[in-house]
Amino acid sequence: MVAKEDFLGRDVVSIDDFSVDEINYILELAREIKDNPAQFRDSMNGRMMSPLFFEPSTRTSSSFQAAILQMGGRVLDFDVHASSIKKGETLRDTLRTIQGYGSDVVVIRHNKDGSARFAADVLEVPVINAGDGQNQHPTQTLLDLFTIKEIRGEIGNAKIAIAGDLKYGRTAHSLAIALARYKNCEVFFISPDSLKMPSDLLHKLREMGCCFSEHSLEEFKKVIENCDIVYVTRVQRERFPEGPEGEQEYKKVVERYHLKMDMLENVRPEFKVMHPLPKVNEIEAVIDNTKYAYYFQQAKNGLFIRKALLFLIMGGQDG
Amino acid sequence: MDKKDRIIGYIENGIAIDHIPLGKVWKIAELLGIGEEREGRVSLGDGYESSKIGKKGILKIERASISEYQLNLIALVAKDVVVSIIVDGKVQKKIKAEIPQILRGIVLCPNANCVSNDGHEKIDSFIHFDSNKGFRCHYCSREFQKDELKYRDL
Repeated sequence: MVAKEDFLGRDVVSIDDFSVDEINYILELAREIKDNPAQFRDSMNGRMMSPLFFEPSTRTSSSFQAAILQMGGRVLDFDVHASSIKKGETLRDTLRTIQGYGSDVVVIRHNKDGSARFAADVLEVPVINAGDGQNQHPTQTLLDLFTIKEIRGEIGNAKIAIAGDLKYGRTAHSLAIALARYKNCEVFFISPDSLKMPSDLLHKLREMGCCFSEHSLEEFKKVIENCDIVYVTRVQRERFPEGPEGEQEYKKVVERYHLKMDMLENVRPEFKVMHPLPKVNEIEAVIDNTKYAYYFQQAKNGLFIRKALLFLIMGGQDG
Repeated sequence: MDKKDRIIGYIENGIAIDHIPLGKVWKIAELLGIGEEREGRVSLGDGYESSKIGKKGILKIERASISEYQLNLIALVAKDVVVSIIVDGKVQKKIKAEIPQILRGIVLCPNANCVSNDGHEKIDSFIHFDSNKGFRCHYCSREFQKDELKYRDL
């Protein structure tokens, strides 16, 4: 049995730090917070969060700040760009300085893989990873799972297509691994040839007993007709080589990788489109206004997941 | 040990590392910090006949003071190497080198974007080893096998 106390003072560096039961506990609390926000209004009174965003991230940063402020906590305004990066201070020194200011939790985003684990080792206060390079972004995975549960009522037995940049896409990797931990999930990977799921990840999924299959962009329409959800991710220009050849390859992929309205003509009535946002042109704009689009609700769910984590880690008191 | 072997140096007290696969003796010497100023003689030989492995390397270090951790680093380069502790000209103890469960600062994470490879941050690498699963970076969780091992410049 998982209890609230199990989370007290814990670091949230990787989704793998949690058991499935613990993930379910977090999702349930996030549900409770979403349904009864007033009950948690003063639950973080006197607590201070220090966001250390070495990389710009408007959404994640704002969502964390809104989460603690709406629960009565405070935010330490520490501009790492002005104070640390510009002066060439090391990450270790910045972390120690922040700790000295009396933070109760540090939320970190950094462009280096493993920086969040390093921060968790250096600091005595709990650390939440808000994205470390290409490595982990556990609150994104939790909000994705929360959204899948919200759409379907359960995570198990889901048929989910994950499309786009599956080679480098951090959110796609974490989601696939997380789904593999739930019963009877079937995952369909759709990507251009050059951006397929890395073989070591497929190997891991196989070891975990996950049922999955790989598909080309030509099969996009056909595959999603058999799914509950398609999780669309962005294809980034910087993933292709520099110069005209890379540019040509990128344009070729972008032209073919596009979820259009007419591809949804035979999907199931309850079918939904998810996307970690920001999206560029991989989803036809007209889909935004259909019953299939769920990405804005998904983004909003980040607030409840982050509230739930802050509440659990800092031992919040609900009213 | 016959007279022919003693050509590379008899030691009264210290350590002898035998049956090193051909060409690996240089890396082992580097890992053990040989080359830095020290007391006592060091003998290093390569290409000797071996009934077990064909050709072999031998390393003898007089008055050596080497930690178990350092000894275990040898296993990274060559498995099944046996290290003999020599006291008063006799083998007092034989130790089989095994890769340590935690490697700090010697082996580098193969992920170029790992925080432990950032020159500015100066963070020691921190690698976990499991004989069944292989190597895993403590920071970025990158899993890798022996063929991807890189050493810090010593």
